[in-house]
Amino acid sequence: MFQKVYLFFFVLLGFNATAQIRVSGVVADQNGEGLIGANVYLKDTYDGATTDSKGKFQFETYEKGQRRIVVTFVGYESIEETIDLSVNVELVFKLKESFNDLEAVTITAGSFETSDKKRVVVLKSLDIATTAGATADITGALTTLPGTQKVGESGRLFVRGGTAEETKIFVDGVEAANYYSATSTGVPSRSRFSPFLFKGTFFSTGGYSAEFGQALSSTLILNTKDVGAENKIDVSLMSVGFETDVARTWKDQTIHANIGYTNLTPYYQLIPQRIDWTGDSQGFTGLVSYAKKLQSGATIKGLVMGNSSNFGFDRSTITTQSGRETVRLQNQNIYGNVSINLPVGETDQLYIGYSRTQDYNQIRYNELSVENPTVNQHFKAKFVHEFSSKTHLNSGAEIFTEQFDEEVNTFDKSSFEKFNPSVYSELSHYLNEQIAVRLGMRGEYENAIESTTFSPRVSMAYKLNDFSQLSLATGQFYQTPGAEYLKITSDFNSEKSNHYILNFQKIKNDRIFRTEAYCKDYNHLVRYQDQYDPSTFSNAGEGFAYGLDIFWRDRKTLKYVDYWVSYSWMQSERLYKDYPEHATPTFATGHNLSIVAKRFFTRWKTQMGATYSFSSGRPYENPNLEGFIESKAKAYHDLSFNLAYLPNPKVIIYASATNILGVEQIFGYRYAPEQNEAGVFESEAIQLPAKRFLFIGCFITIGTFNNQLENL
Amino acid sequence: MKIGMMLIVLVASVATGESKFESAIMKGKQLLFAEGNKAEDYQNAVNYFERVANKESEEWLPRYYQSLGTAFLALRKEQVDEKEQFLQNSLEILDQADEIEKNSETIALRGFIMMLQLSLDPATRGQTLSPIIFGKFNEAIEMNPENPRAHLFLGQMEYGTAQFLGIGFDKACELYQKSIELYEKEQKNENILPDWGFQTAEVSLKNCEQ
Repeated sequence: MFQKVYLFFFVLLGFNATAQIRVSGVVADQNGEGLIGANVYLKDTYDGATTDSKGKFQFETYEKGQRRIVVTFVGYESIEETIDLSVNVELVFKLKESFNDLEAVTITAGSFETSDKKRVVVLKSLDIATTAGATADITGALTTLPGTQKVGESGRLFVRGGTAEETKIFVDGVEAANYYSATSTGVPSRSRFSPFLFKGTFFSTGGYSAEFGQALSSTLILNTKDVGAENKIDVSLMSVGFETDVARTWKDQTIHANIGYTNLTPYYQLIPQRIDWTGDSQGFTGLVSYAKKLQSGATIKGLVMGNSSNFGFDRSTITTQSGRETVRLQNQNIYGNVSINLPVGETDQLYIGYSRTQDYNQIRYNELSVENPTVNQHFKAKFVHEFSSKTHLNSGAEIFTEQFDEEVNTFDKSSFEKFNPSVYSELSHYLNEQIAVRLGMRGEYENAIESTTFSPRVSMAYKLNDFSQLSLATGQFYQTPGAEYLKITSDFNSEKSNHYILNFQKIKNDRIFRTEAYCKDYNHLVRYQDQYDPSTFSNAGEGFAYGLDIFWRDRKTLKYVDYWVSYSWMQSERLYKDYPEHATPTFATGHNLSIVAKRFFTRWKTQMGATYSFSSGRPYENPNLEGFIESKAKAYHDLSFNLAYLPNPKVIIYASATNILGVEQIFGYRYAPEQNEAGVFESEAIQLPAKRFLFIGCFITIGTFNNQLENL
Repeated sequence: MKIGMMLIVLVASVATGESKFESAIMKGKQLLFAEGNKAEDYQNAVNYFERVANKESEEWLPRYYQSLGTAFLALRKEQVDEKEQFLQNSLEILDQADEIEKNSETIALRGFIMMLQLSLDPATRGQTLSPIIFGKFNEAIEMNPENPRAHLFLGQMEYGTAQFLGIGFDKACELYQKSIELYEKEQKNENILPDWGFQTAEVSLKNCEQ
């Protein structure tokens, strides 16, 4: 039998009537090390071989004459050469490593990326919803990262000695002005946007790209979800209201609608409060978002969100003559944005985006009544050109506008209009996989104060080894003074800051360590002697902040437990507003620590999380003492807890509590305007409206459009 | 040994009147599905299919097998980062197959690779990837209700979901049962088309019986 087969084989060979040529040789890298697994073959034939452990290969072919030989190997640049196949040939190939932007160094100075694409990141999208103490608030979760300060009574993001106004927030590339819910002194605000809208977050604590401007300290860039696979109706019943959410996906488009109603009044009646809430504390939210992916690869996204909220309270205070403080607030807010990402040619990208925020506040504060409608718009276009996989040029133009009107007690009117066109261009270049450089320049003109500014930005990164890297960033940042000043006078320059950041990061085996040292100077900050007298205003203010941030996240050491620790040390002083001398502002604290831990208990189908936060005492001004902002409140501690129980795939029961230990949390003191009979200014502590916040909710998927899934 | 195998393939191809392309695929399948394959054997099979694919630019099958082999290779890698890279690479190769012809098999393979990606970080990827993967297998079944692999993998997804939530495996096991029936039908006529996964289905079904 075998003989017959062999015979047959030779007969077949005979038909071909020619002898085979042997092609052999070695494939090696630039250092001459043999590469195992490379593919060596003759183009347009099946003939070829894979290199062995020494990089050697050998194959036979019936091809004759001049032929193209190809060598390919993952991670290396392919080679194609012409060889002559008249006799056996022996070849040596040296492959060059190809540039792989996934392997290459990334500039991490000042930036935290939240994404689910990479396996090991500082924060995952889901973390925002599951961090204890954050109560599913984006900014609440971000304050567990280093570089942020805990300013509990505000609820906003304070970054590295900057005020909340120094952080600019963008959704899908365009501004989300009035990002925080409207509130009054002492009642913390929340993000208007649900964390579930976003697939990823880019949070920069400084030294950010020239693409972004009008922010002295920080940018927060939120990216909404792409066309997905969601097809369901969810209902949430919560201790503070209810919400309905519908998501429908067709082949290449997703539409998502959400309606919510919150009413805190029953909750306030149940849980003891420090202030007397008056009237209903309620809010309505409606949202529609849309994402579509076109055949060409272009994506279109749009979002419209409307919010209406009102609340009021009455509390005793020593800061007014009457001894009472009465606040009533109504807010209406409509935000809309639309953006398109368009591939141009093989590698270029065009982006066009627009957003508009219309905000209307009606506030009554004791005898004072204030109404302020504001409209913000942002137009943006950018073009990213790829010269090569190593070199990109990102250029763009944008316009920010703001129209502000305010009426106090229906007669005292003030208004201003801002018109801020800007252009920028930024070159990103990888010298190789180890070194990346980014050079940018931004030019802005601010119509309201007739100011023209140019801000250069530079950052670079150097990969030390497979796991660690160093990066640094520096640049100039400008911002137009805020509405509270522009309504008084327009005789200003732009406020300015310079950032210098050095970052080290190591990622290995599901653990991240990063540390960052920074220094920030402020110039041209607004100063005044009398906040109602325009003639006392100037840009003579200044300040600085420097410090060290440390972050550690570990998903490996403790089985099933995911935890992170953030610590920030900071020194900051300012001479601004009506400060008579340099002083540490009341929102800046020297030490901030957060420890966040989560664990899923499979047996109980429950995820539990705990967050411990500490910050050293808040500085405050005590008029009874010599000096300015000379005092410090006691340190802040908070231990928060949450749990999510999943009894079946369609139900999640969620509960959370802040400050479970009931520690007294004090954010500073307020003083009476006049001395009492004993010649002392009396004080009261600044605290949250309640000792704790408790939340219980039940999220139920009541329907699905995906019938196939159900039928199987 | 290898020459022996080539001979058999060669003889078989002559005997059945297979085209050069078909016998090339048959040979590649032998390489890819040989028992006891190590990483280098999978690399060899992947390289082989890459050569066939580059020559036969109108055929989806060589790219399909190249992509599948790359996914198998990913499973043999020790470092998680390497696994990630090879799975990503395998999806990119599959994109090329889809450009030539998108069908029930390429869609099911995409779901399979994404399932492997999910398994590298279920805590994070579960929520976003699961519905997409379920969608792929359902789409694959809709296009070809006789596709045993799509049934098997859909069963595995159902199994994983049931395990996570601590509920019954009935849905998963029905799918395994169905996939076995379809595999048995498929194996009656061996050809160049995908027919892998029978053993996995048997093992999966055994888990159900425990």
